[in-house]
Amino acid sequence: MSNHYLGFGLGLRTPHFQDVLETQPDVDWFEIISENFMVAGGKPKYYLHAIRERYPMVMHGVSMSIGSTEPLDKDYLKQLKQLANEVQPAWISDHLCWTGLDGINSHDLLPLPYTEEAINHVAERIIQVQDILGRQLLLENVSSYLSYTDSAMSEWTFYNAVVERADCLMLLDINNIYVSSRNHHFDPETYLNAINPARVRQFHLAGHSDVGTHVIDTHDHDVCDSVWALYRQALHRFGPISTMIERDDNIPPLQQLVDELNIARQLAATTLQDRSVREVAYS
Amino acid sequence: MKSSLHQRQQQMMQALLHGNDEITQHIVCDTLDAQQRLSIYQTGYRLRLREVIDNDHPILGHYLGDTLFEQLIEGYIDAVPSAFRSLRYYCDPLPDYLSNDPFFSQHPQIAELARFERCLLDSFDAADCDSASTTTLQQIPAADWPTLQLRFHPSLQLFNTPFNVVDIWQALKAEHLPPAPQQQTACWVVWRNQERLTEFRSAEPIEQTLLNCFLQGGDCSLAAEIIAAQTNATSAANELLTLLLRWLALGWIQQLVHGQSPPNVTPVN
Repeated sequence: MSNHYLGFGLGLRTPHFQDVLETQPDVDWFEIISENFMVAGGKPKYYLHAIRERYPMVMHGVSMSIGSTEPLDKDYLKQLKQLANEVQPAWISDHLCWTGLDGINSHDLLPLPYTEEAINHVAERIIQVQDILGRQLLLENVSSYLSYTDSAMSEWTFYNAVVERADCLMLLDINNIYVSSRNHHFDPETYLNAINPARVRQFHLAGHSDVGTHVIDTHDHDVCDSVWALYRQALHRFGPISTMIERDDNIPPLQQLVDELNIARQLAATTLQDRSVREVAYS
Repeated sequence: MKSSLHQRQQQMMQALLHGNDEITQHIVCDTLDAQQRLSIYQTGYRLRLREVIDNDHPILGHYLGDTLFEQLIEGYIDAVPSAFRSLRYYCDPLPDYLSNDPFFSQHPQIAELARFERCLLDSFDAADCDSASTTTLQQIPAADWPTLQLRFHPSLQLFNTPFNVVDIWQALKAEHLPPAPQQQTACWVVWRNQERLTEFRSAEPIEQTLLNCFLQGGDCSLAAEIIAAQTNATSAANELLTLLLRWLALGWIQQLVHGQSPPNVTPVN
């Protein structure tokens, strides 16, 4: 097991701040949305620091816009670094996407075309960001609802290439792989099997909304059976990887999320035991 | 020459912000056509911004009612794309938008109500710092009092408004019928208390003048002169002391500093 392994975590959300402090739930670590704490002080910062004293944390951003063709936002990166100095996270992640252009933010995780031009562009920017932050960045695969006719390769080929060229790490969102596989009609196991295990540092799990013709990454439901099944496949392939559940809407009581996280724990325990038995049998 | 990546991003932003569908010819179609795929992003864009306006301005929404609040939301999203990395700040330009919008500007109390809700949010997550205590004040030698200046807590703001919008806000918050809008000059002090909750209370004219005096770098000597000139107080020094003790108890004062230092807090609103 790598020394980067944190165990099983949850996304830290405002409705749970007080509960986390009072009940100190059996959660190994928390992931924060970086932008939510880029404020000067008050309650958000108070809870952040109080909870950080008790739990390991990682920082997850939503607006680095690493794939945008506008210049990197140095002010944003400065704030991110300042927050990292405060939080001392185990790592910092954002998304392999772009979020805005010409100073306007869409506040959405917009997909990139899978081209050589985009690989070069994004990899060069990741290298700059890693220089500024003084650490490797984790990049997450996003859920997408469209792909471009410009694309010359699969999403997983693109993802691997960017990560290799920039020498960064992967936050593999299992739900996003499932959502995109439904929306773009590919086999999610093909995606998993193509990913370089040496680059994977974290898994995300989440719920989504299935509207029949397509699936939307809403983070407002429990993790569904198909995503649990894909998580099992991911555990088989990648071994023990720090795993967390994201919930951003229709947020249930904290204990309900802890119970859901325990499903992930149990699933990992049995899957990884099977995996080690197999490894011994084949060694 | 523009790169194709840059072009696609420009086309996508045009589709999100202005409904321009040029990008559709570059989107793969299969079980869903390009317009259907694009509309998932277009719908998501507006939903996300709508949710922010809803969350940040609940009392304004209540005041306007569903139809007018819908008009505000649609108009604001069309007119004001987000220039911020965090949605926390998306509605910062809302009061200005309402002041300049041809319809909403006819009812200027609406922009003032929005400005009050922004003011509450700004105090909520303003910077942290310890507040000075009455003991700190007592330890200052009497000879130093005339040149004593105040540094206020970063969450403290003066909300000056020409309308009774705080009364309107309070009535709606308590789920009562709001009073009719009235033009009346009012000054409110907004701050975050030691339990990290945002509070506000009205400031009497003399208190407002003295807060402004100290915010602009004035010292106790100047404050006492103002009290003597503008009130019937028998002892300006006693009046000032009473005020300082009240402000200290409320946690408004961050620091008591000795003369000639430039102010570090700017009056807001």
